[in-house]
Amino acid sequence: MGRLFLLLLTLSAAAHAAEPELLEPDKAFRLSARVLSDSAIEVAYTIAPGYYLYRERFKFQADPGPAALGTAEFPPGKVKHDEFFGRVETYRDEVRVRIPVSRFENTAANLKLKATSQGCADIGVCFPPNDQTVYLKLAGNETGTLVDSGSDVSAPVSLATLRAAAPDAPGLPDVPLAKAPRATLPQPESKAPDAAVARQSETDRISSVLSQGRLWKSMAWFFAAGLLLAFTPCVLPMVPIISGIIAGQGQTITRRRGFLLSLTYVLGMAVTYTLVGVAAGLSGVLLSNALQNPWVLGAFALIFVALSLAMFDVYQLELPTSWQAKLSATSNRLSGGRIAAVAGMGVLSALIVGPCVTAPLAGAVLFIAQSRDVVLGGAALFSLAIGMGVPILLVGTSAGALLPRAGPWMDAVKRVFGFLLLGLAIWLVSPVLPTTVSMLLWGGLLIVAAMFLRAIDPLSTNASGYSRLAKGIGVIALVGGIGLLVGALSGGSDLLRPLGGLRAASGPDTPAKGLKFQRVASVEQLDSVLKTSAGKFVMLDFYADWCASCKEMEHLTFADATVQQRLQNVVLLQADVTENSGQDQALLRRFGLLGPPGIILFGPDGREIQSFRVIGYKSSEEFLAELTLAMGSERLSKLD
Amino acid sequence: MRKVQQAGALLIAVFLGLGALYVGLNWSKPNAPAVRLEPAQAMSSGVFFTTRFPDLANKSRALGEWQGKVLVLNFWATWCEPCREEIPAFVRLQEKFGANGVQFIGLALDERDKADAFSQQFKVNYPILIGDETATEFGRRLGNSSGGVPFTVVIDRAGKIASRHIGPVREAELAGILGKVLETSAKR
Repeated sequence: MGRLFLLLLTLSAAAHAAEPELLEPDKAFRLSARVLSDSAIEVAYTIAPGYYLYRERFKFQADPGPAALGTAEFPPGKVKHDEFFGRVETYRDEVRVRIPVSRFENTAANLKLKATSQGCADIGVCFPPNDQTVYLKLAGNETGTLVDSGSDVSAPVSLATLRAAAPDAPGLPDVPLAKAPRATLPQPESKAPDAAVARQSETDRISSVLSQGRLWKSMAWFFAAGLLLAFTPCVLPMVPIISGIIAGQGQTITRRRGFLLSLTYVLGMAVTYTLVGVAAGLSGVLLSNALQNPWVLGAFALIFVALSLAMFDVYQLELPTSWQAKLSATSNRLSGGRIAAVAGMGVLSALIVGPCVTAPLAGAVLFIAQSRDVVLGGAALFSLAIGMGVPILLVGTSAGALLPRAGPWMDAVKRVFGFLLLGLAIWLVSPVLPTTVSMLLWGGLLIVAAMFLRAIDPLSTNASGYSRLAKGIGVIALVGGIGLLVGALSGGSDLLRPLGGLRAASGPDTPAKGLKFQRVASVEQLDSVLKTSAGKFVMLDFYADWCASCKEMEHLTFADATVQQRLQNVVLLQADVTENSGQDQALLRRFGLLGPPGIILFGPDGREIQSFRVIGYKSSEEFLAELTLAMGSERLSKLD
Repeated sequence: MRKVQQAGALLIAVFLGLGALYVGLNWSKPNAPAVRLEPAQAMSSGVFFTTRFPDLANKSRALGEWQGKVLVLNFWATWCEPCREEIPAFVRLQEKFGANGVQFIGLALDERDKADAFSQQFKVNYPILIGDETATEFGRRLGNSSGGVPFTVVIDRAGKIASRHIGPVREAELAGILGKVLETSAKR
């Protein structure tokens, strides 16, 4: 929901720049244990930020030994409602569990403790139940020693752990890919969830939505939008008039009464808005399939664009005047000053939507429909109404002392909504558009926004600080927009790094532009090079002047610093088959190729690695992935 | 007029500031699980399609049964909230793209009865297989080194990995991927 703002602001270029790396469960949940007394141990998990563990899913087991474990004592965790399991408790940062231990014999003994835990990461990934093992020495009161923690549910352990656990196997080479070398460890039985399956109830669902915090954020943003709407030219000037009507004719009322009446009016208005929000959410649920269709999304986006034009005063959007007249007549029949009547006025007033509110409201309704969330829809529009009601509350309570004076600046507020709706339109269709097109659109919007901020208008020497700040930010928006346009036009496809493509091609930190290939012209020459470079990987690239994707590889993929680094110890051969001579054809035939492009990789034994075949353009990431895969599996198979 | 423009500039500036703040607040937003995956290990499509897991009726099924379709293999479990949340979207996509040759397969790292109960409750319209620890290893071979779920792999008609996701997938995004994969494989 808040993305609405993020996108309007088109600062998204800066967002999500950091790619989080998912920790392995052993690293996300570090286990330690110590002996507390003769009869108790303490197991502690240090939980990485952004990860959490479930209380119900711990399991501790003493491996056959001279000790038995009592019932573990957990500290209270954070309560969360899970729609499938009901009430669950989670731990973050750290959890210490006390486990009573009774020893069968009176001798000092080693305790092998198998601790099973299960948790998730906030980014929306859960780990399978994870077994970790610690060894404790149950001798008197002394602190036990942690011998080994590691070995997770499905056998593979990290190389580091393997080394630590088996110091007599020092000769293991570094295998970059081998997060999971084929070490055979006893397979622990898979742990089953113990929690009972609870029926999902509607209240559970609502509270789970509420507890997610997402809702609060959306409400906050809608509240802000409502507040902003209240400062548009057709709302703010009306506020004193509305206040007068609410208070009732010719009465002097106390501040408290004034506040109460205003609040009633605002809440009445909010009721209508909430109903509209719920309806929007429901219609979204009904239309859920259609809403994934590119054409429907496109139509929505066009509606947003049309609505935004209303905010730039291209045309006026409002309810038919006859409706408005009827509604205000009904509302006028209710007399101010009485709570019930004022509430009724509020409910009706929400239906009389002024021309500046119509478009943003329609936008909000469409947006909610798209989110397909009924609870969120109601709550969001409720917040919007409350936000819009703030000036009425202020005026009703303070008789106008706290309100900014109406003025032409309110038109600017309208324009902000125009940009908001345009941003929303782009956001809506971006999943179905090529990235380049989205980049062009965002770039365009940023540049236009920059013009509104007067990014290139000259500043007068006595310009105020505000206009200087605005200009500065306008220039930033302009540069960002230009960057996006340039990036899109130069074939970039990363919204967050629009100029990434340019950097790969040029830039001072690429020492050698492209890779240095050794030319091979015939099968015989190739064989002799393969013989002399035994023990090394050899890469053979088929090239021709007329081959477009070969050039792309050369300019983009082979210019990438990571690719160059990875190929540092690889013998690089290139066969230029532009002329398509007999020898060229023989070379191509040997690899079953009809022509370039084609990249062949040979292992240290001089044999072709069959699993690797790069035909056609591959980006540096794809190429590296293929390369790592081929070289890694080659080394792995040598290990076996 | 000057005043209007100044105020407009100021308000847009405030908006930009708010946006920056919002971006900062959402830096590690759970909606953007751009987690790096390891490259998939050498697993020929032969190995992939001969891999077998039991289904909810405890019948052993080979993945090859669905060879030639655009396969969406989803590793999930009932104890994984993000997994459960995205399954209704999968059900919708299966319904939408099923006729075009898309087949979703749920590989549950879970107990059969729990997976079964969930599958009935949420009217899952695609096969659910039950994976044990070999399923986690299978996922590792497909590049999911952390073993986390949900993990979703899209395999094209030719048996090649078209796309992989760790963490939840946006419905519109997956629909886009499936559309693209269907389109390219139709061309061949």
